[in-house]
Amino acid sequence: MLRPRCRRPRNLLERSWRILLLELRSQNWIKKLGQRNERWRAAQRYGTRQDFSHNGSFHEAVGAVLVMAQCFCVMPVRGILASTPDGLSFSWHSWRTWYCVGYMCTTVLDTIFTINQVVHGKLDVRNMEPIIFHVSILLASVQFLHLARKWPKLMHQWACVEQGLPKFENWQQREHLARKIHRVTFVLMMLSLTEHLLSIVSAIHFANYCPARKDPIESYFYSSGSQIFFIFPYSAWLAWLGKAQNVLLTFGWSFMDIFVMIIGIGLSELLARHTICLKSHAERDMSEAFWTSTRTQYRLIVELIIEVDEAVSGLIMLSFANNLYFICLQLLKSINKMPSMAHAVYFYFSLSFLLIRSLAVLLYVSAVNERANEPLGLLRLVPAATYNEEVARFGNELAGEEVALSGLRFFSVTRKLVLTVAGTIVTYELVLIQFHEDEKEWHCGTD
Amino acid sequence: MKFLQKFDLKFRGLRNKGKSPLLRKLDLMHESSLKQTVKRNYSDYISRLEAEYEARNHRPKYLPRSTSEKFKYNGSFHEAVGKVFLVAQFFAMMPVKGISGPLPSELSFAWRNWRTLYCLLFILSTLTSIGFTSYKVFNGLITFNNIEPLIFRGCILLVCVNALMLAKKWPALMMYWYEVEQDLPQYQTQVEKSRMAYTIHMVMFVGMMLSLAEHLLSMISAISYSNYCHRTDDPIRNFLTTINDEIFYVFNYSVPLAMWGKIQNVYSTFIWNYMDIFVMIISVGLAANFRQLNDNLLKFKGMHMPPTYWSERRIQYRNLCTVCEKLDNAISLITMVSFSNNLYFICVQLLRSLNTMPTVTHAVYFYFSLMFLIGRTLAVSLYSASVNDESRRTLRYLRCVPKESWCPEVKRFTEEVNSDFVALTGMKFFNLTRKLVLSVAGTIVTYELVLIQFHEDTDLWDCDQSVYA
Repeated sequence: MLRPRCRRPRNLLERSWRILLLELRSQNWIKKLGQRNERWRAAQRYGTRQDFSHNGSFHEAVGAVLVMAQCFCVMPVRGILASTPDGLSFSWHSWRTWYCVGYMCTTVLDTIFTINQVVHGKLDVRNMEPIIFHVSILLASVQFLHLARKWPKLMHQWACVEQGLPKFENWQQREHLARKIHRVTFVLMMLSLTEHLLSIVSAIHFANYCPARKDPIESYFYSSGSQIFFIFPYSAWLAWLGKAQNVLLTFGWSFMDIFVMIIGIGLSELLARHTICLKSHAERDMSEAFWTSTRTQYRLIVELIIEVDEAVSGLIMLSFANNLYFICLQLLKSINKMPSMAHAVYFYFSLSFLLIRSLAVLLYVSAVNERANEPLGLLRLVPAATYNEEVARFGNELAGEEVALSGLRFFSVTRKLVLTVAGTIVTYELVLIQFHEDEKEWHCGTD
Repeated sequence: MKFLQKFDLKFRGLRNKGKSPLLRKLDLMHESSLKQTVKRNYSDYISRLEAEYEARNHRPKYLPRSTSEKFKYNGSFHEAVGKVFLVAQFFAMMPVKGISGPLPSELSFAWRNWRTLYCLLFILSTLTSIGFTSYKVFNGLITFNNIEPLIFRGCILLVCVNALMLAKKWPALMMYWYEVEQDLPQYQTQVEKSRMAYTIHMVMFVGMMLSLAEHLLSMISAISYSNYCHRTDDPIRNFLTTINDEIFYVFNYSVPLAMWGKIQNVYSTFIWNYMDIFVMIISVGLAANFRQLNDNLLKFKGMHMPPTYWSERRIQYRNLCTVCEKLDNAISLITMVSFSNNLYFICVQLLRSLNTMPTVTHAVYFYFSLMFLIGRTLAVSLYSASVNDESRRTLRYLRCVPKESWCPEVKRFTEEVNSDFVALTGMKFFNLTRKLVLSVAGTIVTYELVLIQFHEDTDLWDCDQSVYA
């Protein structure tokens, strides 16, 4: 009764009709298979020189980094490896987006568990650490999802600006941007990986010292996912999930900074290319049309910077606030006595990594501001004979505005910020030290 | 009179003697057109006056049929803010007549108006309340924490008096603002026109609802405290004694006094919230006007526009700057009080958060009120900073003017926008920009860290000490 399709065909006509249909369908299927095979073969061809040469665009340079990010559930944009930004698109129905949203859901759960655990203990600046860590990463992934929706449009505008700039002279210039971005990403990722491994080593050391479970591996998992096992009884599945979540969170925490840096590098590179062109022409007799085009180009770059700033300033704010908090915290912890060698190595490595990373973010992002001010010095060299209304307008525009990325426009990132942040850290540190009590790190949980 | 006309004709004949017939004809034409223009203008003027007179004397029917005209906005600030000020007038603020009328020309202020008297009465009552409070505070221990009620009432008195002063200036101010607004490039659609009114109403509604929730929670927590401590058997009496402890510190318990105290409390809470909302509303209005101008500039961004276009826009921008300055002079005391008040209360509340909460009711009330306070402060700062943001955005569009239409007028406009600083201020001590938010946050953290060192845990559940909040 429930299988009306499988009833026997009544007459010859129907039977032959069915056979025809089946044949058609199978032919179609075979054709599709063949096409898929073709595509697969095309993808598996030998690499040519074309594949390894760069065209110098930001979209291309950042592609590999974004692929890595997508493995760790951030930036769900389609077509990041496409040759032009026109291939980019965002869709809610893509598996990447679902992957990302799923990750965000588990992060929310994890955050709730963490808050539950922390609230049951004593609330303190130090004990707040896991909450702040979780919440900032959650906010960052929301920001990334939001950014992913704007990304295709933004990259398109970026490509338009790049097209207007003077052409590259050789392949070294062409691959400069990509190499720089890859290098920075690689170094920071390696450092972050090392930091994570060291943290695992120190946690294992701790877990062995006061084992919560009989099995050493189990007791490590137990301590690393303590917020989960605060509610649920221990199970291997949950332990693995907790560990995976932990790895993803750690990646997200580092990637926030890396991404901000990459944006800073990309924008300052655009400005640098513009300046190089200007440098070779500034002292010569240039026509008014040249100055008009130069000014228009600069204006386009500045418009792009404003657009990018609107999109990523939330991330910049998060990254800076996060770094500020963690540096304060780690410096405060450095007063404690280290219980073991493994702890000491991990701690000082992670502190110096944090400091270096924060400094690098600040310097790379403030480079945008530095580069944006450079043309003004060159404009002062324009000879009197060619000085005209356009040069004057360009000069006034340069002198009158501050081009910089900002943290939600609450502060703009310039080199002067480095000292301000350092001063703030020292001030807070001095106050926090007064409340500091040496905390026994080497005590086993409840006792 | 006939001979005068003849005389005139004769004179005309004499005057025209030396002129050619063509010139004579031209003279005639000129004269007649002049007469016609005068006549038309005159009749226009008369009809406009009559229409205005009609509108003023037109008595509304009770429960008249609504027309769609009634729900259409013309996009002016006066219209958007009418209902908000009407609510404020119930709570003895802004005693201006004709606040909900369609045109600002109907606004007026008079000392012998019931609104003004109501307002004066409230100021008097606040003064009395301050007297009681200061008596109680100065008889006890004076600490950063204990002077809170005094500061609370002092702020409200300051704001009330300043609002009364503002009400005197309000009609002229609104008239000027309205004229400037009418001169701006107008929006085409209803959605765009009603945007400002919508934002203002939302700000008012959300702010008021949250403050109502906060007040109710504070009442609940006071009730639970008074029930715990019960000095007498009557729960209502207990509650009223708890919240009006400064009155019954002097007098014996009596119902009218207790009722007065409660009403005074409700009014004070409203005004305490309203001053922040007022600053927000004014900034929303100003920012919307700047945006109106910017939207027009955006529409013609990068196009070739004639110099007259630019000079028009420049004059409009200048007018808006003047409006901003005038408003700032009028409300900067309220801004100042609002900011310093928020700063003080956040510090106090953060300091109190170190205490252990005796019950869940207290904890809920406390954290809700702290969140509300921080959210409100942030909202005030961001909304008031938006004026500065919007005024700077004009520069972005001016940078994109193509070379061909670059003229002295654009240059002047650019230079003016570049060098002017348009923002609301706190009595010119500080400018309300986005950068202020971080410095305020930094100040709060610094003060807090210092204050924590002097902090001793107070037992909130102590019946002798009547700090119920």
